[in-house]
Formats: sequence, structure tokens, C-alpha cells
Amino acid sequence: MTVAIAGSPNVGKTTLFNALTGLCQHVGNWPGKTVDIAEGWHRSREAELRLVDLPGTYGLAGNSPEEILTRDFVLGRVADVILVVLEPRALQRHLYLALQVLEFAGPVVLVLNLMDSPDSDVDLERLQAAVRTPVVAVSAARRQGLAHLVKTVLEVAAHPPAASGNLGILDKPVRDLAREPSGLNGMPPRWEALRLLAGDDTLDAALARAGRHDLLQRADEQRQAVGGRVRERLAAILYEQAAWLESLCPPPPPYRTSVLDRLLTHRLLAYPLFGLLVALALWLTLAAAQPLTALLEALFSRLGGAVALFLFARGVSAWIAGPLVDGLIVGVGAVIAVMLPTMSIFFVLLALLEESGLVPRLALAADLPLQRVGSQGRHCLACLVSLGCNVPGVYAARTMTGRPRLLTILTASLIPCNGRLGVMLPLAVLFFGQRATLVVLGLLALSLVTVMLACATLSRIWPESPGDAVMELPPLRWPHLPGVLLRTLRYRVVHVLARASLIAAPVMLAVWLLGNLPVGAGPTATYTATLTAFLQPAGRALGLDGRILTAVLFSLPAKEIVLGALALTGGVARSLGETGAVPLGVLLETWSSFTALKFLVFFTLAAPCAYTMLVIRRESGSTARTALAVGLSLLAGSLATWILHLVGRLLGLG
Amino acid sequence: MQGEGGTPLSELRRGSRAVVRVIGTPGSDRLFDFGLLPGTPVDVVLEAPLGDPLVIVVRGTLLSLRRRDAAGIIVATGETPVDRRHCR
Repeated sequence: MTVAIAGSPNVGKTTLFNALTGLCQHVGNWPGKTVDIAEGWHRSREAELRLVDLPGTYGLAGNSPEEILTRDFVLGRVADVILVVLEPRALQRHLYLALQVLEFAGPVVLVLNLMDSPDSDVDLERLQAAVRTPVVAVSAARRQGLAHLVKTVLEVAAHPPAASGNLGILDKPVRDLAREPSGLNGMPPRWEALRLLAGDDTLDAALARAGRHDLLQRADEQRQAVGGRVRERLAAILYEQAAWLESLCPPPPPYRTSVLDRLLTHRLLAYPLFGLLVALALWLTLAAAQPLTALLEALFSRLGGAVALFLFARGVSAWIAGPLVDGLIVGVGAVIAVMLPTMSIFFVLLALLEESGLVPRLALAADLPLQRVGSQGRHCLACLVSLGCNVPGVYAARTMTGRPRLLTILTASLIPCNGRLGVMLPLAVLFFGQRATLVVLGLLALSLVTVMLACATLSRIWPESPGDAVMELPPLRWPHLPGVLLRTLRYRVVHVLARASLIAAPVMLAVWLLGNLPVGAGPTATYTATLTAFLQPAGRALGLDGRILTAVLFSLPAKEIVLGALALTGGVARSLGETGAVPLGVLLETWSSFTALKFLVFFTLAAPCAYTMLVIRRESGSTARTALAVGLSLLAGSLATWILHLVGRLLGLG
Repeated sequence: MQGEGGTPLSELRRGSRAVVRVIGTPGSDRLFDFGLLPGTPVDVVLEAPLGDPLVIVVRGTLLSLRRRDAAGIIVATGETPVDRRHCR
């Protein structure tokens, strides 16, 4: 039996999902959907339930890709029972969503999620009688009331309560239009009727193509009969009911703006505070991840050595052992060694900031500057996520619509991720010593300016999409740590890392082969050497060289391997696995600090990793836009490096 | 209550309370989902550091709303200022 969990964002849906499924969950791919939804199993003596954690939504209008996904899932009747999670704060808004789900899909169990204990002062009996569907009080965070919830779900599945809609003055026209549904999109007839009445361009076009002009005309007549403004009327009707239902419950405490609220919106203090917060998160990440990365690197190199020895002892050819050990184990190992610790720490910190309500307030503070370049506040959150890894940074655009969504997707890779930061920091320390922090901060500022410039340029392409900047600010509160840990590690770290390694592996193999073929070639005659010679003119033009460009190209599977790649293209090493002292030492001998700076600028901006490109393709749904994103970062990186090169020459450097 | 015309929501000061009269913002589906409808009481509780967007409380939910979008929302202001601590 499938049970879907729906609710507004920040209502504790995922906490309930975790409480019900425990560790028994994974990311499911639903047919026809390109978006992953978390699903899990709840097994007990009485029942075996498949639970689906739907993205948060405020209504069924489908105002963002995530909301559309939830709407289609709910209306598609994929689930046997739908749980709609409510909380006492802003109960009206939650009931508004619940009433829509009750009206157009079902059967429904309403779940009142309470912070402390399920013994609330809400008179569940009265509420239940009024909505004519079961209401269960739980405390997801304390795992209380869950057994009763499961029992109720089973009862509702066995005996679904009769749905009785009440759409006020819209009832008659909807009933009339639902009489002869088109059956085109598999939506419930009443929903299709409502969309027709409200005016839905996509649906209208589909009906026109199907020759159902009669239906379109009837919708027009009915719309005029009720006096238009159907969406507003529907919301008013549902909110009237929601307000009445809420009046059956004790009133929630009013929202009080706290001192922190006022500090975070303070004219002078807000930006320094947020700057400090982000800097602290980055510093904690890099400081805490370093020893873990060193440990993992040592582990993988030891594993590689052991496998090499084992293969050698069995007389396996070097042409099999080489790629396997140097290409796969050490190469992919280097990716995991850098990504696993940094991403885990950074994303847990970020999730804590998100769940505490601080990040939405950062988005509020960033809205005006981003508005000026055609984007909006949520873009800032995506940029923060991109500092950890560009892939979830691109995914973060799912809560957005229109032009800001496209801008977010296209500019995500201009932000240096942890992989790139992990290279930038040691290089900066090596070449600039005391001033390394300043250099890295400068590079971050460069990336930020580039994002803004790119947005300002790109926003001329697409028309403005009004209304999508409205954003809920969840109340400031202490985050629920276990839930944050579980969700972050599972969906942002393990999921991304597993796929990144999968994509990195074949490219690592290719790089190894390029560096060692043709058979018997010396260091100057390999394919890598040929490629380096080919890229030399382009490299010189930017003030770099062919080896650097080849190394950046080789770091396509994962940016963190660029140091190994530099050693490889420099002819010092034959595998990407050699990180740490060897490549750094070589660079110190061959590069001036000006070259190092140019490289850092180029590397900060230029070219996303292969997995990010793939995700940009998936999320933007267009190859042309993906090419635009890649071209944009290449252009920005080259341009910035070239300008720096010219300025440097004028000043007599390099 | 003021006269028939009312004021754009964007012109309210922090700490003021009003009741929505007309919503004329384009793309206002999202506003409807939050229950921002004619007749709904609204409190302006905060402003972003640079003065835009506004932060309003609608039916117990804290919302950030750009001044430009708020300009399309016509409200009627009450005569007595309401202490924002008691707003819902």
C-alpha cells in the first residue's frame, strides 16, 4: 500500500517520514518524472506501507517545479492514502492545502504535527467531524502517536470516507464542466473542470488540439456567469472554510518578531552578520575536513598499493593493473577523499542554518541586489549550496520559477565548489603564504561579481516573471539535529557522491589511457602530450600554457583532481593519483606567483564538472541552455584571466 | 477606515496594520495560496536591510513581498496604530 505525505514546506513532513521509515528509505525514480522523490518502507505487525515524501507545497496550483510534481502525484491517485501534515502555527494555511487535497484527491488522513506531545488542546473530535475525515495528532520529532496514525491509515484505506466537496459558487460550474471530461491528462474530472474554469493555457491548448472546442466554449460561458477571477474566488472560498475550521481550535500564539529578527534585517548589521556566518561555515568545513581527507587519501593509496601488489603477484599485465589501480582506485579515491568530508561537514552546517530559519532571512537580505540583476533572493541560497557542490546548487532552483530559476541553473557553476576550494586553498598558501586568505576571499568575490554580471546580461534574454519572489520566512527556531543529519548525509552527500564517482570513473580511465598511450611512447609522445601541444597557443594567449589547459580539461570528472592532472601533464607523474607534495613541489618550481594567480582565476570560474553539466541538462531540459552554461563559465574564466594577464603585463609582471 | 480608494500596501510603514481591499498584482496565484485575499488583515512587521522587500504577516505566516508586488495590493488602513506584537 502506498501512502504519500504532503504538506507545506517546513511543516515537519520529512521528520514524520523519517520517524515512520527509520533508515529504510531511498530515492525513488517515479515513471515519467525526472525528479527524485524520497520513498521508504514502514513495516510493523499490522502493516507494510510504502511511504513517499512529497516536496512541500502551499497549494495545488503548481507554482514551481516541485509544486507541480507534488500536485501531479496527488491528483494522479498514485497513493492509496494521502497524509496531509498540519501544524498549529498558521493552521489556516495548512487547512487550505488539506481542503484542496480532500476536494480533488483522496482518501486523506490529516496529521496534526505538534512540537512537544500529542496531548494538544485541539479538539480533534470536533475538527474531524467538521472536515469529515480522520485527524490524528502526532509528535514526529518525539515519535509519538505513530502507531495510532498507522492504524488510522489502514482504516481509511479499507473504508474511505465519502468525499463531499463544497466549492461554494464555483460548485455548479465545476459540476457542469466535469460532466464530460476530456480524459486527456488523467486528472480527476473535477480538477480538470476547475482548471478549465480558472483558465489554464496548457490545458486549453491541449483541448483545442483534441477538438474539444465545445468544452472550451462552455468554460468561457461559465466563467462569465460567475464573474471571472476564478483563482481568487477559489482561494477565498477555501480560506473561508479553513478559517472556520481553525476557529474550532484554540488560537495559536501570535507571531512576535524577535531581537534576532530585527538584527538580521538591520540596515548596517545584517550583511556583516551573514558574511561572518558564511565565512565561519566555510572555515569550519575546510579546517575540519583536512585531516579526514588526508586519512582517506592514505587509505585509498594503501588500497591501491595492496591491489597492485596482488595483481603483480598473479602476473596480471600492467595494461590491466595500471588503469585499474592508478586510474580507478587512486583516481576515484582522490575524488571521494576530498568530497566526502568537505561535503558532509559543509552541508550539515548549511542544513542547520536552513532549518533554523537563518538562510531564508539571508535570502530576504539578498533579494534587492539580486532583483536589480533580474533574479531573486532564493538564488542566494542556491549560491551557498553551490559552495558545497554545484550539483545540489542546481537542484536548489526547483523551488523557483521563471527567469530566476533559469539564471540560478545557468550560473551555479561559476561558484567554486568545495572540490575547487580544496585546490585553491593549498595553492594560495603555497604561493602567497600569509596573504592566502586574502587571495581566496578575492577569488570568492570575483565569483560573486561574475554571477551578478552574468545574471544582468542573461536576464535580457528572458522576460520578467512577476510574483515569483514571494517567499515564506519560517520562524526562527532550533533545528532538529538527527533529522538534519540523516537527510543531509543521505540526499546531499551519499546520493551525489555515489553518482559523481560513477561518472568520474570512466573519465579517469580515459585520462590514464591518454597519458600512457600509444604503447611504448615516451613522456613527450603520449596522446596527453599531443593534446598539450594542441592547446598551447590558446593557453599562451591567456597567459597560461597548454599543460594547464589540459589539466583543467582532465579535471572534468571532478575538479579536485586538477593538482594530480597538473603533475601528469607536466610529465612528472603518469597517474592522477599523485596528489599532495609531489605536484605542489613541481608547481612551485615551474610557476611564478603571477602564473599561479592567473591559474586560480581561471580555475575558479571556468568549466563545471561533468556531473554538474549532466544535472544542468536535466534541470534546464535543454541542450542549448546547457551549452550556454558551459560556454558562460569558459568565457568568464578566460576573460577574467586574460584581463589579469594584460594588466599584469602592463605592470611588468610575468 | 479610510475613503474608498485605500493605500498601496507598499506605502505602509513598519508596524502598521491594514486590511486588503483589492489584489491587482500580476502573477498573484502564490499570494492567493498564502491567503492574501480581499478582506484579509495584513501586518507589516519588518523590512529587508535595504528597505525592500517588506515582511508581512498574513494569517500567521511571515511573508517576504517585494515593494513592487506590494504596490498592486490596495489596502485600507485603520485609524489606530496596532502594536505589532499582537498581530497574527
